[in-house]
Amino acid sequence: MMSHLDLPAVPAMTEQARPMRPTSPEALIAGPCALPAAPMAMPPQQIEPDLSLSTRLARLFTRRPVGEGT
Amino acid sequence: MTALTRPRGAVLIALRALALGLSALAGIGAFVLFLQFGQADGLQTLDVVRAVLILISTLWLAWGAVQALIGLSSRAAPPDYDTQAPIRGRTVVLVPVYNEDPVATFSRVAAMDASLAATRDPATIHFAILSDTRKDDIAEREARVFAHLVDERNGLGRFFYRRRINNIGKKAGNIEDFITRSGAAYDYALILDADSLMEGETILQMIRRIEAEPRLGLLQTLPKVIRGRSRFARAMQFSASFFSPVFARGLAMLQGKTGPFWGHNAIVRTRAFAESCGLPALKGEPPFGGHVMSHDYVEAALLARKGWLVRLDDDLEGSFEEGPENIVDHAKRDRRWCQGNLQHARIIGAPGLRGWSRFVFAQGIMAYIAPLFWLGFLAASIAAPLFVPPPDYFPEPYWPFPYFPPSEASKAIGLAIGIFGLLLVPKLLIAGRAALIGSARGFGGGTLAFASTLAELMFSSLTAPVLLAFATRSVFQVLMGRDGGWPTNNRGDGRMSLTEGFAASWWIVAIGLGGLVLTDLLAPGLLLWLLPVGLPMIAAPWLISWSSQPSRSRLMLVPSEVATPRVVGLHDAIFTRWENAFPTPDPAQLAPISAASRSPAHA
Repeated sequence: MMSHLDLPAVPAMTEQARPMRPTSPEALIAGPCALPAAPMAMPPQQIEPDLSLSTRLARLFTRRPVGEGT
Repeated sequence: MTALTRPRGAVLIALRALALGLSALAGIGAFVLFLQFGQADGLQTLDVVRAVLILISTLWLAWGAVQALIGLSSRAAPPDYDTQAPIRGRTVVLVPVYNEDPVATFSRVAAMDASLAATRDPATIHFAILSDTRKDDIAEREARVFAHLVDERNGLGRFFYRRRINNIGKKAGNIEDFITRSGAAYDYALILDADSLMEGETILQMIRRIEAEPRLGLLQTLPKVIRGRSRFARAMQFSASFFSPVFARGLAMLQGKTGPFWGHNAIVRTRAFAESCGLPALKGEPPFGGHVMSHDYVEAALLARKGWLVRLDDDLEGSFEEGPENIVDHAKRDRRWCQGNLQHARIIGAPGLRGWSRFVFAQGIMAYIAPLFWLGFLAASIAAPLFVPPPDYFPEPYWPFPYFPPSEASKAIGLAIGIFGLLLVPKLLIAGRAALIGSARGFGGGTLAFASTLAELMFSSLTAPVLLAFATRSVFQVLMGRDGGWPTNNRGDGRMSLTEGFAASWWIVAIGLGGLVLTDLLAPGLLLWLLPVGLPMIAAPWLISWSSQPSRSRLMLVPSEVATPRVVGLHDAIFTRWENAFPTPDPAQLAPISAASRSPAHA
């Protein structure tokens, strides 16, 4: 005979806690599905030839690395 | 893997020299033949101009043919690496979207995720949907479908979504925005298009390959075109499946350390991409200034400039994309590429670029201006009789017998055969080899593949003048700084009526008709030669409409139609289910899922 102390387990209380999905799509994309914040620098590159004589001379004498910065 | 599969050092230099040398030889041969032909009635200035135009045009055709011939000399093979190595790095799959139907796009993400799950590999692979959608109703639908995607794939913590407030820099800006906000969270980024599909196993092998080669900055796959329904789309699909791998093989053999980037279905090392590929806007206004449109070529060149390897691995299967369903959609896409490629004229001289990168830019520009050389040649040929002096049958004074200049028609015929040969022979050789080595099996067997090749040759010969007319108009529009206006077309399946075809191509009809009438008046002897160009132009509306209709032929059969690739089957099933759950509100609101592919079939 079942004692009044041996209550049947309530599944909802014994299951492990699961993260709740936000109810609205907007809350979802603003919350757990927003992009992770992990910034990475992406410096602009020189993609056009700099035809000015001063730049060419400066590059010739200073050996400035090619490409970085505009 | 032989030394010829991925040539390096002296072998690579020799191969490049051979390819360029053979192309130059063909061009010079055409030049000399044409001069000899022109000498028959006395060499005029216009003859020399025409000879130069034919030199440039033949050189360009020969370059394509030589690439195919080189490609026939070896088979695609994987590099040396451990195909079972545990994956250590974190990867994000980037899916940029722009007003496309989210059901079609996000169901692809679900299919790829399911395909990855089926491999049971524990690698960390996330998906980030990067929305540049401008229409609020589509964005709202994106949010709902995304929530469904997360639920169905249990994707919390693996699937991400963000919508940009503005779409500065278009797709390149969209990717850059992701890198600057979240790039440090991932070692690798697999860049896709809205219409991309990749097998999970292919994605894993790409990650293993980039992990195995620390100098590798970008790894490009050769996407196969799938799901073509119309006659036009199936012809493109057949070409991309049957011919393109050989052309791509040639390209892969010539690439060295500076391979191509076609903007999607490629994986990048996030750090390499971030440090090399920040693209500033070009000085001045569009079309030549402003944001870089064909950013992929530039990014490949910039990675190579920083010393990173850029590689096309043409042996990798399981990489797919979709293509346009009709000629007008193709021309629209080509209009964008045209502007982007011509913009590279501003970048080709950037400091520090590798020589081959500059050559690739020049090739891209040439791909769009080549029709101008043919057009110039045709115009000059029609006008040439106006400048020819009357024949002098008695050039020697007091000599009683007339002198008849020798006919050099055989030279012209030889030249025409040579030019057609450059177009036809590579494709016929590809068909022959496919029959010999058994790769034609996926195309319905050797006989059907050969019949498909002949059908594709006929189809491309008929449509080439129309496509060249669109390309020429694009070049002129870009040079005049104008944006092209286009008639309404997309009706879901891409079918176009004769009226819509006429609305899109009446000007081509007028030019074709005018050209033939002018030829008949000025140079009737040329009429027969110009009919293969003029008649398809006059028939352009019918060609556009006919080729946009669904194809029911067994011709142009491709392997993906014989046996549906697993990820494509997964996508079909998911898409059908989702389409019922999220019925499309108004198809006209949505952009067609036909993104900016750059596979060599379209080059």
